[in-house]
Amino acid sequence: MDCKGFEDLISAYADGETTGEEAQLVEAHLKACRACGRRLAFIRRSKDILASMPAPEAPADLKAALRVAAAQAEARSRAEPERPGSPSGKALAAGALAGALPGRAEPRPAGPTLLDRTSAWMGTLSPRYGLAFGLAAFLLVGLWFERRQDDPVPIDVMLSAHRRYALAQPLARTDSDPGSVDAPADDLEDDETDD
Amino acid sequence: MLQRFVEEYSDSAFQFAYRLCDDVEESKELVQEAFFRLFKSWDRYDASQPLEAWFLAILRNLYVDSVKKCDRRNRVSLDAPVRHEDGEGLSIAETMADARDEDILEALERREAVEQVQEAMSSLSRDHQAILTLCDVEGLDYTQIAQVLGAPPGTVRSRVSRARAALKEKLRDRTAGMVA
Repeated sequence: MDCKGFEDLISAYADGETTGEEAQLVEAHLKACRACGRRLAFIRRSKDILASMPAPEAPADLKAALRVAAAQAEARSRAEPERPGSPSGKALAAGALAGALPGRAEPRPAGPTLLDRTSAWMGTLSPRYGLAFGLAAFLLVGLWFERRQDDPVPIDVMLSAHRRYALAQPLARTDSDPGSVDAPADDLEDDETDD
Repeated sequence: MLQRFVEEYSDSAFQFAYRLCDDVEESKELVQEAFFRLFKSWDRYDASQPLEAWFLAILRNLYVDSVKKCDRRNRVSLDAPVRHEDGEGLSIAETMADARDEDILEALERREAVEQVQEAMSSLSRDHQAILTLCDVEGLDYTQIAQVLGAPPGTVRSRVSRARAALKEKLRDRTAGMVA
């Protein structure tokens, strides 16, 4: 391997981020290459300087605002009882960080809810299967509704039953039976034939 | 615990934000927003976790927000080759192993080396500054740096190396100016 091949390796070696095998490679190369020795010396020196560089302090008003917000958050947390069913009432900070890696660091809830689990299961279906599933459900509901509407309502059977009932009743109105039919049976027959 | 967290990490967070934005007011806003976001939902964090894990979340928020809000400094890809002031492209190997390295090393041994490095850092791109701050100032390991930057862990090694080459290039320009 030439010096170009060692450039990242020497940088990582200075940071202690090489494997044992890589470290041996670098050390063997450094014994024979003065230029890479200077490269490592520069990295180490610049690391020392950067580590000891005076750091700007956070402005006092910023710190004051953060202290107040921290105190309020702690007070709020003490006031709120832990939710039952929560394993510890808190999610792992490491988990929250890991979840934030693609974007912004946001904490995650302590455990999966029913909705989470359902969503996860739905997420395992491919979009094509999901669409087919939804379409099938829609068609089944539609067919069921259609069958309800198209139930062969025996209107003629109902009419004849009604007629039989009416014929069985006395024709004369009585005061004690205001709801009785007072039309003659013939009229009913006529009505039917008119239709 | 949160108040301890503020005392322990607010300076480092501000320093990181300041390197990313190069503006005090914008840095204050970024830090405040990042901490407030953490406080808002801190009861959902595990108190048994080390504070450092929270700090990494803060740094991550700062980095993501700075990309959106503080865009006045041109971003330079961490994977791009280092370019010399005269426009001539240099490979990292050429940059890092130049014969004039002795001059740079000598300059770094002098008393004003801290100022030189500080100025060279300030002139770097935001991404180069971010990665060198995380690595050399904050002392994070490559895995943690990958988490903060949202980068694949395998790319951090080469990105750190490129940022160092860029820093060296800036120092070379200054050293050449001093010698001439």
